Amino acid sequence: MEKFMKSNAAVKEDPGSVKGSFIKTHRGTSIQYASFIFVIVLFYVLTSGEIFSVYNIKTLVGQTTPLIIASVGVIFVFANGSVDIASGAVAGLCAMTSALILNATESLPLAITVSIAISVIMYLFSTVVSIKFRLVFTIASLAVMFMARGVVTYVCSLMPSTIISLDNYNIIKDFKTNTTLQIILMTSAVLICWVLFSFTKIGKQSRAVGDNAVSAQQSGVKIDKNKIICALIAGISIGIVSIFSLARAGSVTKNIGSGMEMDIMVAMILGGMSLSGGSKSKFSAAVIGPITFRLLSNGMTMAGVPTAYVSLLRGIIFLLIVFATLQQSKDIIEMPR
Amino acid sequence: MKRSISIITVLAILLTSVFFFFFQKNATQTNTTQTNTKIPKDKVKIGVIMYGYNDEQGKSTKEYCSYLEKNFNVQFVYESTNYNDDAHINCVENLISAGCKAIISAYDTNLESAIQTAEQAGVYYVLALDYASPSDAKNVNSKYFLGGTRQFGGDEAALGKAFAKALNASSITNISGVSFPPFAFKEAPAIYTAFKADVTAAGKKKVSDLVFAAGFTPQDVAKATASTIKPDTQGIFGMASGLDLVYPELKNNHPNVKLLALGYNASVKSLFDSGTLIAAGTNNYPQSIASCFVRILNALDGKTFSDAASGKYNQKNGNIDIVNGVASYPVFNDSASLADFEAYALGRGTDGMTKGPVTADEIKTVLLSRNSQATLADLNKLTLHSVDEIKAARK
Repeated sequence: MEKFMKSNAAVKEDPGSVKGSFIKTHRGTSIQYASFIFVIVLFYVLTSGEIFSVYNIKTLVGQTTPLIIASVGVIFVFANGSVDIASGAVAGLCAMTSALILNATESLPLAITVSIAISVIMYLFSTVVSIKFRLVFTIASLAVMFMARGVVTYVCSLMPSTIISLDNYNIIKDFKTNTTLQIILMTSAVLICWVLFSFTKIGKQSRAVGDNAVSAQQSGVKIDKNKIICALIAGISIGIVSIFSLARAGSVTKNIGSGMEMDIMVAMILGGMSLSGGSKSKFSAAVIGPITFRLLSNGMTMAGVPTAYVSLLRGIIFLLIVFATLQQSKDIIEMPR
Repeated sequence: MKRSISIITVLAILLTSVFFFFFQKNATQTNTTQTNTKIPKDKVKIGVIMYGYNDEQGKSTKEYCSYLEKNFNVQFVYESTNYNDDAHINCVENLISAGCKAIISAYDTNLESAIQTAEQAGVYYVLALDYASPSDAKNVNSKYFLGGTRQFGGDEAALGKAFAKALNASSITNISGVSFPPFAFKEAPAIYTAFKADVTAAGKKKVSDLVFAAGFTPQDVAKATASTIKPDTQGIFGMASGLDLVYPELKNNHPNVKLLALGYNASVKSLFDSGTLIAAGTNNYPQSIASCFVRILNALDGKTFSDAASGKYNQKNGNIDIVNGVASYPVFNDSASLADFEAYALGRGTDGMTKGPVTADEIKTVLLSRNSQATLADLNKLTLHSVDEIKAARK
């Protein structure tokens, strides 16, 4: 297995020729971080450093934390070649359940536990369905998305003004306002997932499955088991993120969580993640990408970019980073699929 | 391949650099764009959050804000949620980071959380096209929340009667109505009830019950529109964005059915000319912004209207009183009244906003820093002027 993983991530360069050039050896990573620094420097200059004001740093931490926690969990699913499009709807369903529990019991631990449980069940459901019925994961994920969104829409329609307001917003407020709590949770999630992704069989096997499932299986990887574990991790992270979503919105409407799946995908691509998964999947993409993504929108507002040009400019910068990160793919030998 | 990627990367960098260079230069020269670090520090920055700025609502709002920038020491910074409610708090935070001292939000999206965010930063928050419901009063009670703005002139029945008058003057004898779901457009039933009562009272005309679309999509509204049209239906009161969503269904499948519409866009004149449109109307967006703007400037000066607690459009819940402003809802039923609407309600005549709905000089009369005797009633009166009243005042 180890031999397989090594050959899978082999670089073109002859190891003997690498000795004099660190950048050449780590070209992909260098481009990834250079793109990140480019965005930081660009907005630092445009905002005369205001982007690093205390308030804005807190703002960025608050905006980035849920996206990073979601990304470091969902990256396991993406790494094994599955494309998850249900994360927003699942987070919405969990947020709605949490709101109902908080209104009924005012118990935050119970709300968090139930949220994580529901999210895990939804992810396991889509994974098991895709395994049992030999469906592409995206299709199963699509079905889960419709189901979750449908439940949220229905329950909201039963409420006055179709909004579930929190009776006591203070219970959950810390997830939005307490920067220390946000940093602790984000760091914990990043560290745990980084270890799982980079140093354990779970991460290595998920990348092997993403590269070539048949080869991985012949190398001893239990594909179904690996996919279920990856779904479990993604489910836990989305369950936690749903609490952040609820705290930030302060209420639940049928649209809660909508667009989150796209934010996660765009953020990870910005970070240099390959959505086809495999050995090209880099854990750092799930951290750098969300920060870059939030910096883009926050920085453009602070720099005063006219709203008419925001999408255009975001597109150009997005393309710029994607083209730059494309370079790193050249260093890795593609495995036959 | 490697070469082409390099070329594209270099081009993208160049394009980005040129864009930012052009933008910064332009922002400094015209002094009418948004946040820029070169703008004098003494300007008060006010944030605006809307779904987008490409529709009539967004365009009218921006036009009026530009006019205010030229006449007051303020600068507007714009954010759009792109119809994503989850992005609303991000927009609020970004505007606060950009240095805004007050934020005008078009809608009550995530209201409690938004007010809490604004309050923590000492930033004022006001709603331009919505208002807090009485049940939310205790959750949004903050000195930094300057209230909402009632639309439809604060009198839904009067609007229904205005459309009834237009219908009664036409030859249509059988009409039905379609709207968004009641939870999404809570004023619709009151407008339609008054409309139906007046048309029925005039006699000889049949009005069907209002039909609600299942959702907000064009397909939902088209389906509801089709279901409400019977073989003898001659007209339809399109309350679910009459021009953008109801009219396409009429155009495609029921070309002989006439339309009364809540809404306004560039096609109104041609529809009047062809006889398809009986009447239309829309919010007076500049009046909404003017009402919010005055409340913001007064609050930044630390002043409050003496009659703030007894405003006609306030929302009360127990001892909590949320101040609301008001804006009118002009209705036009021919090319001439449309031209007046565009000149005097939108400020798009040859003299621009100087002949528009609320001029800078009029705003100064209700600013407490300029007129300590000004009242909330004065402000509400100013932002409730009809097109005819504005026209008469500008001559």
